[in-house]
Amino acid sequence: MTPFQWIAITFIIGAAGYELVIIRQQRSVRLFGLFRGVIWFAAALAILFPNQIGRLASLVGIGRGADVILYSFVLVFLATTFYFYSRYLRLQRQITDVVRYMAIQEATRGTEEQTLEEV
Amino acid sequence: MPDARLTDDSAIWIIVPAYNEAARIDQTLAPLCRAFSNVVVIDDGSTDATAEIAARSPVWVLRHLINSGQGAALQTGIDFALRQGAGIIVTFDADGQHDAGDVLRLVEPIRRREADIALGSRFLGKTIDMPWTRRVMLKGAVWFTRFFSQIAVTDTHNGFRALSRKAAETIRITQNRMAHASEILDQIRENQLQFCEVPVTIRYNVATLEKGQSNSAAMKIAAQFLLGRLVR
Repeated sequence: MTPFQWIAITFIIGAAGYELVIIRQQRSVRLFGLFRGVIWFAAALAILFPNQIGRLASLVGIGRGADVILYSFVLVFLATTFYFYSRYLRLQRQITDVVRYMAIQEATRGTEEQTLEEV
Repeated sequence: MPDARLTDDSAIWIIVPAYNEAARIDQTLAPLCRAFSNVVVIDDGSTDATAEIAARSPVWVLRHLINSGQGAALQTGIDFALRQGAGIIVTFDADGQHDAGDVLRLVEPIRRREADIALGSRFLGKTIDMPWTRRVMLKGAVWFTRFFSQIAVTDTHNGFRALSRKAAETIRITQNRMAHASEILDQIRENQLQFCEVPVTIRYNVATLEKGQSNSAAMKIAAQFLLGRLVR
């Protein structure tokens, strides 16, 4: 194994171990924990057996194994960005609804200082 | 029999979204309060005394706990005015750009039932001390809107408009920030609301230009508008 493989595998074992701990403490939904575990496992495989990625690359018509990783990252990055932006906008709208509700409930009339409930 | 909600001046509700306008809000409100009994100031989470100063005038004051943007503040004001039985809702900037004397002219097409929404146009009307860079930016915004919203207007980001009750109930602003102006035009087209443009006067000065949208912010507004269309 190359020095990079040692470093990367050590990091992945640490991350997977942490994943196990939070699943055991039930701080994470088990399904999502498993999903993240699969991702780490796939990363470990890709680092330990780079030639297999090269074979996968030629299988799907891409020249190099590194390109498969790069293209996959681009796709996942775009999908994730869009997903989180959607979530962000929806959350922002929900917060605005709460802010609006409170503003209307606590409306006051200038100089007279009375709330809607008192009118 | 004429509908009192259209003919009576007390049926007109003026919505004034304000953010950090402590220095100008009283000057903006004074002519409005002289002419109209229903003025609503939405303090959009200001860090200065905007709400306190506004409350010295006979207006309704609504406070956003956090700064949510002009679009959000307008929708809050519209919701409030509708609940209070408004017949016509006018949106009016807090920074003193608009002329209170234009309000009755703006609502006239709605009173005559010729339009559901009347949009103020500075390019049909008059601009005072408008820098040429601002003119170029606003003309660009007009072309942008004509292309994306497919609606023929001469002024797009003018905060001076009048909405009939029907239009106010139909339009729902979801673009919290400045892109709401384009969103309103989108919804006019989508909901097939009748609209017209009315010449209005916009007055620029150093303070309003500092407070207004910088030319570089125009790109950001365009991006917000397009992204907001993707996420409904």
